[in-house]
Amino acid sequence: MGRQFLPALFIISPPLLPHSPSEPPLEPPNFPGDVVAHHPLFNPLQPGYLPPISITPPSTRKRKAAEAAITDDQPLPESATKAAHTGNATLVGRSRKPKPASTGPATTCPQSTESASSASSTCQKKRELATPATTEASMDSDDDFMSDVSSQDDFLDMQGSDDESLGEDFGDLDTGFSDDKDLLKQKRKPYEVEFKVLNPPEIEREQLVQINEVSAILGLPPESAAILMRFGRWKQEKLIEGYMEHPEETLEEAGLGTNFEGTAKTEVVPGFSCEICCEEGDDLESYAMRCGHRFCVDCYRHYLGQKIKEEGEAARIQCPGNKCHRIVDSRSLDLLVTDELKDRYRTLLTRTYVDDKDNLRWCPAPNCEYAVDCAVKTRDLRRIVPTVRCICKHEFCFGCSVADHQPTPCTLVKMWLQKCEDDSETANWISANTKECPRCVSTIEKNGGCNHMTCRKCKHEFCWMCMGLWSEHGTSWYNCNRFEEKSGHDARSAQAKSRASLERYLHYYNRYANHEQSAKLDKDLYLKTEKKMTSLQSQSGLSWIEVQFLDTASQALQQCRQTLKWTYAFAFYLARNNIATIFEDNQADLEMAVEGLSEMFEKPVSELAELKVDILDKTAYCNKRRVILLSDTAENLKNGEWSFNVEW
Amino acid sequence: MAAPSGQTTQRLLRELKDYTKSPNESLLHLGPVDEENLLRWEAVLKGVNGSPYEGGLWHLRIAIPPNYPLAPPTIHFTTRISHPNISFTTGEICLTLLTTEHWSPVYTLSSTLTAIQQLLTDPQPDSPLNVDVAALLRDGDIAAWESVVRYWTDEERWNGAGNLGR
Repeated sequence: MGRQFLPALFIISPPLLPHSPSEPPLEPPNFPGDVVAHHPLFNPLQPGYLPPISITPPSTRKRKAAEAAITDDQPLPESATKAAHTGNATLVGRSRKPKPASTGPATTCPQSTESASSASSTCQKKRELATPATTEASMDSDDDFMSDVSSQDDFLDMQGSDDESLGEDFGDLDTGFSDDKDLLKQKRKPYEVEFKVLNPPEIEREQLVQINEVSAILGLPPESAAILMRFGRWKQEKLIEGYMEHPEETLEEAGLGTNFEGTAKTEVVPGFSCEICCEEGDDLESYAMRCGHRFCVDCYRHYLGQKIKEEGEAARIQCPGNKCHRIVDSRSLDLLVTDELKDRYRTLLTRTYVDDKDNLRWCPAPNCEYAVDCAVKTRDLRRIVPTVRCICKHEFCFGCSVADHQPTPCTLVKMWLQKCEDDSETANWISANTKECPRCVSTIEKNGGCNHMTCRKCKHEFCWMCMGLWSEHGTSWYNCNRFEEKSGHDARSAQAKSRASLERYLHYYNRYANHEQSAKLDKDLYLKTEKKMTSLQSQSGLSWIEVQFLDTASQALQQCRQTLKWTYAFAFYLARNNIATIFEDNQADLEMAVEGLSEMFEKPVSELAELKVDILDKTAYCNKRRVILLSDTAENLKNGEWSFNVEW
Repeated sequence: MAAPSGQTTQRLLRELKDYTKSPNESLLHLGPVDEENLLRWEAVLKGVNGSPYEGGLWHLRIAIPPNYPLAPPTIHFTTRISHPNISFTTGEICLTLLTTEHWSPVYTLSSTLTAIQQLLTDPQPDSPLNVDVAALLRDGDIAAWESVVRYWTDEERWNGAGNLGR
C-alpha cells in the first residue's frame, strides 16, 4: 500500500534536468534543399538565425568558389564583398552573445579588434563553404542549375539586408575585410592545428642532425653526443648551457665519463678472466668501454641481447659492471651485436626519441609506424583540441592520443571517460532500485521487510518511504503521513538532487553512447556500401564515379557521429548560459541532419538512385554543420568564453 | 622451465665452488636443493650481531632464471621474518638489486645474499611490504620495533627443518 507513493516521492524537479528525456524525436526534414528555411530554429527574426548555406545549387557554388579565388589576389567590388561577408556574419553573431534584433543598423560601431577578427574568420568560413561544393558540381550537370543562379544571388542579397538589421556585430565588416590578407595565408579552420607526419627514416634523420650539431659544438664524438642528448631529453640549448657550466658533472650524470680516449675494439688480454661467465684463457676475446670494466665478448653480447630484446632497453643500457653507470654507446654496440639487434636497437632509440620530444607523438593506430609533429603544448590543451590525422588515416588527439574527440578538451574527455567507466554500467540499476541513506549517503537496496530501515553502515534509522527519521514516525508510520515533516523533506530533496544529477548524467551518456553505437552500425553499413554501389551500378546504369556519393555520405556520417558523440560529453560539463544554448542548437541541428542522412542511407538500393541529389545535399549540409559547430566551439574555447560546471 | 645454457651452468658451478672454497660469513648454508636441478637453490641466512635480528636463522628459496646471470634470481624467505621490506606472509623481498633494471650480471648469489643481510640492518620503511612494522619504525617507536623483531626472530628461528643439500 505504502509503495504506491513511491513514484510520487521521487519525481525529479524539472529545472534540474536540462533536457527532459522525452524530447521530441528528431524528424528528418523533407526537402534537403529547404531544410533550413523550414525548421523553426531558422526563423530569420531570431538572433541565432543561421543562413541556409548548403542549399546553394552546385553551379552557383562553383561560381562563388571562383569569386572566392579572385579575392585571394585582388579586392572585390564592394557589393560582392558585402554579400560574401554578410552571408555568414550571422554565424558569428550566433556564436557570440546574441543581440536583440531591434538594435538597428550600426553605422558608427566601434572597430574593436575582436569583431574584426570575427568578421574575418567569417570570411574564411565562407571560402571553406564554397570550396567543397566544386567537387560536387562536377558530378551534376551545370545546365540544370543555370536558371537558378540569379535567384541565388538575390537570396544572398536578401540575407545581407537581414544582417544589416541584426545590428552592431556586423557593422564593422569592412575593417574585418582589411585583415583578409593574413587570413588567406592560414586556411585552417579554427579547430584545426598545424602538424606534420613523419616516417621512421625521417625521425632518425632528425635525430642525426641534432646529434651532429651538438657533437660539433661541444667537440664530443657523435655517439657520446647522442647519449648526452638522450640524457637531456633533446633540449639542446639547456644541455649545452649545463655542459658549459659544469662539463664534468653533466658528463658523469649522463653516464659518459670524461675520458674520450681510444677507439672501440675488442681485445685479447693475457690473464683475463670474465667476471660473468668465469671463463678464462689467454685467447679469450674481450671488450671494455672507457670505464675499463672488461668482459668477454660473448657475455657482453648476451648481456646486450638480453637488454635490447627482452627488456626493450636501448637509450640507457649501462655497463654490466657492478654499480657502473656508463651508458653503452652505439659504437660499442655496433661492434658487438648482430645486424638484427642493431635494427631493434635503432627502433628502440627512435621510440625513446619520440617519447622524449614534446612535439612528437606516435600514431596510436595498430601497426602504424608514423609519428606526428605538432607544436601544441600541454598548457595549450585548455584552449585547443589538437586533432591530427596520420597518413594511415587515423584521426587522433595530439594531446592525449585518444581517437578524435572534437570539440571536447582533453581534460574533460579524461574526466568523462573515467565517469563513464565508473558510472554507466551500474548507474541505471542503482537509479531504479536503490536509495541513499539520508545520513551517510550509502546506497541501500531494500530487499523486503518493513519500511523501518536501519543503515548497516551508520546505524541511522529512517523510513524507506519518506526518508524521514524513524523516531519521528511514532505509531502512525504505516501510512507514512509525515510528508510535511522537515527532516523527511530535507532528506528527500537531497535525494532528489543526487538522483537528478544522475539523471542528468544519464541523459548525456545515453546520447553519447547512442552515437557511438550508431557510428558502429553506420560503419557496418559502410562495409556494405561497396556492394550497394556495385548493385547500384548494374541496376540503374550509373557509372562507378556516379555512385561515389554513397562513399562520401558514409564517411560524413562517421565523422559527424564522432563529433556528435563528444558534443554530449562536452555539454555535460557545460554551465548553462547563452552560448551553451547556442551550442545545443547547433548540436541539435547537426544531429537532426545526421539522423536524416542515416535514414536515407538505409533505403533499399532501388531507391538510392533517386535519392542521390538528396543524399548529396544532406551530406554537404552535415559536413557544413559539423564545421560550423566545431569552429564555433573552438573559437569560444580559444577565447575562454565557455564556462563549465566543473574545475579542470 | 627451459634448460640452463652451458654458460649458466658453468657460472653456477663456479659459484658453488667459490662458496665452498671461501664461505660467506653471513650464511650458514648456500647450495642447490638437489643435484637434479641447478636452477633451484636454497640458503640459510644468519642475523647480524648487535641488531634485533641477532641470533636469527632464516631459510631462503632461490629460483634462478635460465638466462642467469643476465637476469636476477628470485629469492624468497621461507622462514617468516618481521621486516619492513619483506612480506611477512609470502617472504617476498623488496630490494632494488633484485629487479631487472638494477641487476648486474657481476653479482653472485653469495653477494646478493650478503646484500639481503645488509637490508636487515638497514630497513627502508618508506617503501614497505610489511606495513605494520614499517609504521612502528616510521613513527620512531624503536623500542616497539625492536621487541617485535626480536619476538619473531626467536619465535620463527629456522630449526634445521628440511633436507639441506649435502
